[in-house]
Amino acid sequence: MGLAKKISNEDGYVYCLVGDGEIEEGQFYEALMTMNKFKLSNVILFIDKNNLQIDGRVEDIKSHRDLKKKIESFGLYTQEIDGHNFNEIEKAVANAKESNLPSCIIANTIKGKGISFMENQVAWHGKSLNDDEFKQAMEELEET
Amino acid sequence: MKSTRKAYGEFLVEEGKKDSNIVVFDADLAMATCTNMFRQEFPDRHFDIGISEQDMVGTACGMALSGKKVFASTFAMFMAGRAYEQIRNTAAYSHVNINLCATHAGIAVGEDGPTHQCIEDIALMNVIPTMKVFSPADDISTKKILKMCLNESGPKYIRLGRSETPTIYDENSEFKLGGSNVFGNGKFGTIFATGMTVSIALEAKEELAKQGKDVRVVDLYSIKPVDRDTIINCAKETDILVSIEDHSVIGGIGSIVSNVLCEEYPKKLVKIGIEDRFGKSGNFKELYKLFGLSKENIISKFE
Repeated sequence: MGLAKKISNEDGYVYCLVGDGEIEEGQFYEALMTMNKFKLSNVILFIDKNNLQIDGRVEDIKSHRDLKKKIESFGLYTQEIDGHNFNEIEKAVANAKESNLPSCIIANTIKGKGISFMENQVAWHGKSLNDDEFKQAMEELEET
Repeated sequence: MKSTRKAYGEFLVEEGKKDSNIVVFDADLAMATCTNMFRQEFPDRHFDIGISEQDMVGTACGMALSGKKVFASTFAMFMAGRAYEQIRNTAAYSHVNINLCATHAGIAVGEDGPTHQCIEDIALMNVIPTMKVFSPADDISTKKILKMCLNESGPKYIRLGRSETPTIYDENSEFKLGGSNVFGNGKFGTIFATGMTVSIALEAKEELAKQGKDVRVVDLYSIKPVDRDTIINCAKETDILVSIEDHSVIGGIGSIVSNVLCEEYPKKLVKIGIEDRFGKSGNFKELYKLFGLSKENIISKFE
């Protein structure tokens, strides 16, 4: 879609959000190479880096080693931020728009942040809440 | 004689001249798939994504969702095989209007051998919900079916070949979604064929006529949707039913015809195709003989 905008001389940005687990797949790196080839500076890629995937911690299952350096080597302007800090997100997006390269924003996050029994727990990767858990979770979120 | 891939390249150039909204994708096989013909005329509308078929399908889908008329090509093996999930989830599930033109289908690939001979693509594409599947028999039908695809929305898979094949149609021939073309009205039997095997079936039909066995040939160019009525009529009107395809007998047109017969008019069908085995490397004409994709083998089924 970024490529379509570029060849049609359309303004605007394409935002893409991926998790740090799913980017173990090869298609992700195929896409990075395509973004670089066509200089898609209108694409802003967010990586939600919470270091958890279904089977455990990303760094245990298949470590990315230095993710920022790796993404940079594909030709993307890459920033790393606190993904829970809205000021940092806004600033990073503004920087990305200034850049003439495709952009990546690595957002360090904590899965389940703000809910005591969920925070950084791999078991909550894909589970639903029962009524009591839902009630407690909502109370805790309202407090924060 | 012309390959269906060459007809595809010519089609792209002809339509590209009329419609600047047409864009073409390839994955480092532009010379072989013949999209290179389009690239030479319209370099700004041809995108070589490199040896990254999954991303080619993804990027091509993005382009289609942005309003372009998209043709994407690679060998059938790498399209239907390597990019399967992207075709299923990104193209079909999102109902993207895209034309996936896969060349080098079947053992007719020849010398490149089993790793490049896709004998499963009809089965793989047919089973994807909403996917339309076409398999043209010659150059004229290739262009007419592709023209039809321009007016059909949704995901489409068009199966094309590497090798040259005789021209069997003329400019007045007609093709439609869910249609087929029947050659002759013989009562002795029916030969169901698709793609490159249609011309072989027509040769067999001529030989059989000399023996006093009048058979008809059905070109199932629209594999999905398939022409159920014609299949049922042929089963009712003719005695012996044979299918022939450059594809696995598991999940190909033989299986598709069998399904229709089983549901509507149970009758024995003799399937000719690649049995449960891989292809081989070799000259394609020799391979066709070795695997029984020959008029002699068809004729033997009517003895």
